[in-house]
Amino acid sequence: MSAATAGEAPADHSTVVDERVLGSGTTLRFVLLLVLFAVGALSMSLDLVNAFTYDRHANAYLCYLAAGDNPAAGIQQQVLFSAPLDSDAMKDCLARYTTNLSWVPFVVTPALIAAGYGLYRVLPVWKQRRSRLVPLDGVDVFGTLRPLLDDLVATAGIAGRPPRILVNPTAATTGAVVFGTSRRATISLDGGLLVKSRTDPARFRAVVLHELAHIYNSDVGITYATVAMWRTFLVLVLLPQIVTFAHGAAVSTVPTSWGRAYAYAHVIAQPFLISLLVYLTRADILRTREIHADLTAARRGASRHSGFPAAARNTAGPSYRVRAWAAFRQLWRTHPSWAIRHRSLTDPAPVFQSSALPMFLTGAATGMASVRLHNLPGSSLLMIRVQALLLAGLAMTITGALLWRAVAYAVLTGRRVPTGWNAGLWFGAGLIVPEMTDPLVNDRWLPTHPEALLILAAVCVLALVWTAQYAELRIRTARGHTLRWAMLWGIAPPWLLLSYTLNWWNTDGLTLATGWFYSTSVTLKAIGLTGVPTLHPSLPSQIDAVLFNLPGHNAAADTLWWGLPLLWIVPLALWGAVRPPLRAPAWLTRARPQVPDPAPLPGVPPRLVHVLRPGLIGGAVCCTALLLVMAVTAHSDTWFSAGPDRVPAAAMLDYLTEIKLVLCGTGVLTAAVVAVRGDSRYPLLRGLIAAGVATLTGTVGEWVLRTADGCFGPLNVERTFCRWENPADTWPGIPIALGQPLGPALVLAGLTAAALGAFPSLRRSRAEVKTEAIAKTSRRAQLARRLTASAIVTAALLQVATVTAQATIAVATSHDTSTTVSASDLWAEDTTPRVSVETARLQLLAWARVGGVDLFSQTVAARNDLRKGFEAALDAPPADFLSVYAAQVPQTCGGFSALVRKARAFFPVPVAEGQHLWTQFLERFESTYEACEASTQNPTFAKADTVNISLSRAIDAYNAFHRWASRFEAPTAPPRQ
Amino acid sequence: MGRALLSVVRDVVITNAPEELPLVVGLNGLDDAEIGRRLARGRTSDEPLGFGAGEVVALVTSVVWMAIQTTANEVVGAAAQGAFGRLRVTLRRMFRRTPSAAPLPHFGRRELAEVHRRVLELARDAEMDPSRAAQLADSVISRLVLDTAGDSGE
Repeated sequence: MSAATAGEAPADHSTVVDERVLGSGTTLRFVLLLVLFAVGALSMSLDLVNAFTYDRHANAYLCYLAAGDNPAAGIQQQVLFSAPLDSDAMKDCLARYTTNLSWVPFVVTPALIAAGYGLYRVLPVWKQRRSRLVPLDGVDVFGTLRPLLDDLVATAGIAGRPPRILVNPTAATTGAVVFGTSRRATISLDGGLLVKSRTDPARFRAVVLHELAHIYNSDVGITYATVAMWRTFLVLVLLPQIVTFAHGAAVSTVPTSWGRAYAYAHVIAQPFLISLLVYLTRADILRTREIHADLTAARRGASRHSGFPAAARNTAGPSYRVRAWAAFRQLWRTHPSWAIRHRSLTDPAPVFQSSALPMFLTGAATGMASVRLHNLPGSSLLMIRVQALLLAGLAMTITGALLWRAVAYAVLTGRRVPTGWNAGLWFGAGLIVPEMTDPLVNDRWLPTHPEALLILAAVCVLALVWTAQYAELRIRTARGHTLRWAMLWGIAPPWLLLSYTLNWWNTDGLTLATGWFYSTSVTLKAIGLTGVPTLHPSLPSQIDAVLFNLPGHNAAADTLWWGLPLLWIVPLALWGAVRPPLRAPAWLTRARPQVPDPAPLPGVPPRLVHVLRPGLIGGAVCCTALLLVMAVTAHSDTWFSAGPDRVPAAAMLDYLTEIKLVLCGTGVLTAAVVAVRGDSRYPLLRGLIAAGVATLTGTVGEWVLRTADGCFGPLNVERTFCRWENPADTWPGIPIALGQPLGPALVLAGLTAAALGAFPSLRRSRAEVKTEAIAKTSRRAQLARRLTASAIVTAALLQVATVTAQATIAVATSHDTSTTVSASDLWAEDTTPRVSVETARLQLLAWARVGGVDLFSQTVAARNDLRKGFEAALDAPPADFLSVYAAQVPQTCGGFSALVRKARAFFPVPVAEGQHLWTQFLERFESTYEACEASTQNPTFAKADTVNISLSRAIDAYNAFHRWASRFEAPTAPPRQ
Repeated sequence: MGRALLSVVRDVVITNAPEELPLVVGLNGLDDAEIGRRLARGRTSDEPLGFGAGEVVALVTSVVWMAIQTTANEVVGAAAQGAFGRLRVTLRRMFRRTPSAAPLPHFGRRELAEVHRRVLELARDAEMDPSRAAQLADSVISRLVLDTAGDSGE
């Protein structure tokens, strides 16, 4: 094409990379937007339904009070208080006082999808009418336009799905636009552009090919699906919510106080944040797609730059303030600036950047969806797990793909490879912003402990720094035709890490934001020890409290804990299998089309032994430290203080914590040493592998030492006999306890290595240790490396499988035994404040209101029925007493049976003393019922007398309860009989 | 009364800017007032998958249309373009009636001079070449004079 090359600067071959080397991930970003719409719509329509049923809902709190909830204990206790929700009494009560909203998703979702789809189909028709667009064939008076456009459609590679072509005769601009559905696209050409087809054919060609490139890149369907969803959302969800909110605020009789302004702020924050996120994300995606379309069009022969205004080439930078303002305005636009588009054609760097905006937006969309999803009513643990898995999958694929592209571009052009820190920090920042609006955490402006959210951000940094380093290692050593599968495989470990963390946050971690709590008794119970917790916890148990709350402590299979060790197992397996390519692989040749015979990428990784050696040294240090702990423990004063073989539970807990600390500490220390010593590349990967090997060796050493315990003479700790016995049999909970440190150890080791690796200055003070690169040719060395790596990987997988299996079984069995003592009782044991008289009064009132009073009136009715039967029998002549009794009394027995059944299904009395009297009352009525039933068969005077006595005893119990209850001066106390 | 505005513009475009003929053909079927409004706006809004806000071409169609229509409106009087006129357009659009091409009013010497001045002014605003603009203005006047001559001959 002569027109295509005229007037262009020759491209620098070292910088040009084919933008299709990896998928751009924008389609998934659209999918995340659709998820955000769906979740936002669902959550807001629930808010809407709630707003209309508010009065009923306010009464629902009575159920919680009646069940013994303590409002003085604060939200922390209320979060823990979820267990009694399972009781039948609670379910019955809530059913009476709340609206069953489980139908809402089933109505709202299909309705929104149908409305959105309808709009999606109608939009093109509406657009054509509104803009007065006319078909091309009607205006092609010279007969030249149609053949020209047919030729361009064929050039663009979409001859199989030719678009409809329309003309906007009143537009003097030289642009064009494509719209429609994924099946049928429509191009509208501006009048000015049509004129250019004769006066400036190169420009006409460039603009039309750009629009056709949008069709080729499948941008049309998904873009207009988002437009349709957004408008549906606006009209059917956002508008009603704003109206309801405004109406509610207008008619509210409660005076608005600034002290509670946060409540309004949180209500407004959600739709505001969702709208902002949607708008900015859509604009950002579209800007990327524009550059992709420019590049696609250029490849199809569009004359570079000829569609752009002359000003596009002026790239002189104005002042900082002007540039900042321009950048801010650019955020809201769907098209990149002409200068960027101009530059992108010679160097497509903008489509390879892992810039802050998409990272932040992806984080925020994920966080928003996560917060809203776990607040939906009736979401079970399984649903939380699946949601976390799907959301983290979307988020990691999007951010991971962005980072992989950035790394690939840097590696291919020899520029500085991104560390992943920026990406991680922005992603993390995005993820925690919506958490601030979580209604579960917020009864104030911010959560009580917003610093807990930093854990989430730290994990995001870990995930993306890992991704950046793994991507570099993989790309430099990749063979084959495409990087795509390598990328997807490389995204899996951080995906599991993020899924695990979201899981952890939505179940355990969230409570950290409301307050710090730790129960020694729960810890003891969890590891199979029972004993009295000490009032002043020792230093080890305080450290254990910290470890216990970090992500990684729960090793059950469903938490996806087993994904964490993959962070070191996967890179180790890769390191073992590396075969540096001798000549450029196929993917590299395709990625750099301008370079005729590219050389293989430089940067062969260091030998495996340099990575493994520090790990093994760390393992040895770990075993030595364990031996030391045993020695110190065996000689401590508190050990065996209660006699031989009787170790105090608290001392045992300290001992186990010390073992955990040794395992955790050596892991972190090894990672830190590796990150600042040796080869400067891949500090996180090498640190993690070394920490993994060290903890693996340490765990094996620990198992050997504890199995052989009893044979060490003065160093014996748990046993005094020297014979084979599996430690798991002696202390059933111990394997879980020891599985615990592996998770936090890896997360902490990873964060340490990532942090230290980010400061190359730490390394300068030491002489750079010489490391040899992996040999390219020696087959023997390759085999040895592969075998070593495989052996360690197998051992590590076995360890993961064992810990996961043990933890899963332990959790399953603890669920079986938890019927007698509820988990919340245990949790709350150490932290619940005592119930005040005022709270007890409220609880009792609520108890009476939600069903207690009904039971009282039923009691009175049952008693009266029985008494009537008796009176009828007594009024009859004595000879007829028994016959009248037999006719009148038996039918009244049923009343007692129904009463007792109902009372047993009802809440226990929320105050312990009252519950004692209530139980007595129930037992006596039950015996009245039994006596009554017995007297119906062959009634005798004696049997009738038993019923009478039994009834008066029951009435006594009733009155005793009443006397007790009246001490609380409850206005609804039962009537005295 | 003279011929319809569209046919005058078409004749001018055929002689002065034949490449714009497809646009004039495309205007067929639209309401005169609406064409005027849309031509005055000139550019399309920023569309999601558009090429981007491009430059505006100096269209002969637009210059001629605006110059004649504005003058014609002044002749007919503001009333037709007032509230009632707009209402009629809206109603017509609502019931999808094919708009009638309103015939142009009679242009006297003063109106022709006004049209000439407007063409030059609009062409200058559109950054059209001055010599081309002068030629265009003359061409419009001669076309209108032809029309007027035809009218008085009848």
